Amino acid sequence: MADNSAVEFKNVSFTYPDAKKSVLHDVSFRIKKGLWTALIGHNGSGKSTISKLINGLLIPDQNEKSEIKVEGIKLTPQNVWNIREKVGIVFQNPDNQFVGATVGDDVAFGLENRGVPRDQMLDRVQRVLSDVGMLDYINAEPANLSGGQKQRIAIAGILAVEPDVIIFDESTSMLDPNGREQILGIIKKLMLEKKLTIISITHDIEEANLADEVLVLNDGQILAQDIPAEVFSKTEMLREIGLDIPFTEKLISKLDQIGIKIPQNVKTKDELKQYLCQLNLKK
Amino acid sequence: MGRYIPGNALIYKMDPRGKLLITILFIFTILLANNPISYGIITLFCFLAVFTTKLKVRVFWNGVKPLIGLIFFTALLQLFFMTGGKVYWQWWIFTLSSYGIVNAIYIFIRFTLIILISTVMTVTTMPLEIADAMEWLLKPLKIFKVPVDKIALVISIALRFVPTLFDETFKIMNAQRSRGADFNDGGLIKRAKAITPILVPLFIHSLETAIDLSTAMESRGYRGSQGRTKYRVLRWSKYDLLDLAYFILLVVLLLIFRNH
Repeated sequence: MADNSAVEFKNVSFTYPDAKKSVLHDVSFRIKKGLWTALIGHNGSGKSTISKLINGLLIPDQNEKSEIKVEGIKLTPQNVWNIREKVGIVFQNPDNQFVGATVGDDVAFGLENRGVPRDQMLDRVQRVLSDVGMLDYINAEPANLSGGQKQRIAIAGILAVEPDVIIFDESTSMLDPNGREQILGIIKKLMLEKKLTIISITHDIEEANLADEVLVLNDGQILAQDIPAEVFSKTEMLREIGLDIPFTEKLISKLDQIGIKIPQNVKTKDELKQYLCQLNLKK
Repeated sequence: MGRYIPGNALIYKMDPRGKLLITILFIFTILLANNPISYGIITLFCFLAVFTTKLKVRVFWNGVKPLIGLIFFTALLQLFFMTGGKVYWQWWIFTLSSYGIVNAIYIFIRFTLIILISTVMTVTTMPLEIADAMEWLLKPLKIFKVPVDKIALVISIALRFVPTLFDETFKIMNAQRSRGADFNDGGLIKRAKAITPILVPLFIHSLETAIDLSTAMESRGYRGSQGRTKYRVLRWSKYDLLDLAYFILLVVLLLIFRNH
């Protein structure tokens, strides 16, 4: 089954230098190819550490059994640059990942690093900018862009180098609701069009609810990995580790408190809407 | 010197490398002038360059203004300390002589021309283009193992972060103001003290930005300048012959009309 996982962690632990306690202890999980997986957990649960381990920005603790595989290739210090070809990360702060002096320069940065010939570079920059709907801004300077626009440019810069996996490391957390919605729309579209594997690390429970799978992380350990509806129905567990629950689940448990029992099989927003509409009809 | 002002005059279409090189050479060429006619010619050429930008005179006055005191001071030194020729007036160590007067005027013209021509260059060329042009000029230093590409990347990132850091400074100032800080009153010492609470967070913020940026650059595959290709390429065009021709004509005229 190794060929359908985009990322695979086996017995991975990680301790920051000078820290007494490890951030991740003996973590094993598998992220499926072509799906959108959301990684949730409260602050300090080790979410961002995982993203940096995937593309070798951090090196896991030495351990014989420990293994990180990306697209079936084991990550070693020798092939870290090849792995970075396959994995792109969109970081949290829109300003702190904008390298180029203009939009075009920034999108081309990854291509320049890989020594892509200039004529191909111009083509690709144009193409990915139109993918994220920012082609009109090709000569704009970052100071004149909104946070959401800068994140779209960051996505374009990652798309330009054609990775297999894109990690969104709290990429929407510094954006206004409008910008957030745009970015999530783009992620969904790209995933389907380009058959990308998406890993989104997030605090935003509604964002996690849009994913195909949710991985819950608590104190450096995997607590659950399942489809959102299943994960979010475990309201007790989520509350215990200090995570919020999506609006639908909240509504179900509130309705439950006032005596309206919602059947177990009603899980998504649409199903709930359907059920509530019919509920009135029955009476 | 001045800030880049967008425009569409011919001079904007010229390659920044040509403009930078000719500006530097022009400054040295001023030294060729040594009599009224040659000074007249170079002044005329400089004003011609100013004229081709099609920008308001104000822009150039703003370029000269901050340095006007320094120019006058240097000219006055020439005026009162230079001796030779006919002496009009003398007191203690000060002498007013015909040589002094002529030299003071020449010095005044020289400085003004240097500032004017640099202003022409900086208001018609984007800082980023100037950085690219500097990279090109510094290229020969590669023989001495000077990391020219890295220096160029550093300059371009520095330029890109200037507005970002300005925004951050205003944010910090507003945050401090909302808690009662006062940046506009008090004497010099009080004001200088008020700046510390801005500088410290700003400094920490820049360090954090630098760390984030280097992580982002590394994750996007930056591993030094080896094997990198370039997105931004400068190309010579027919317009670049214009500034070259203008410069050659100037040098030829100066060589003819200067005192030998």
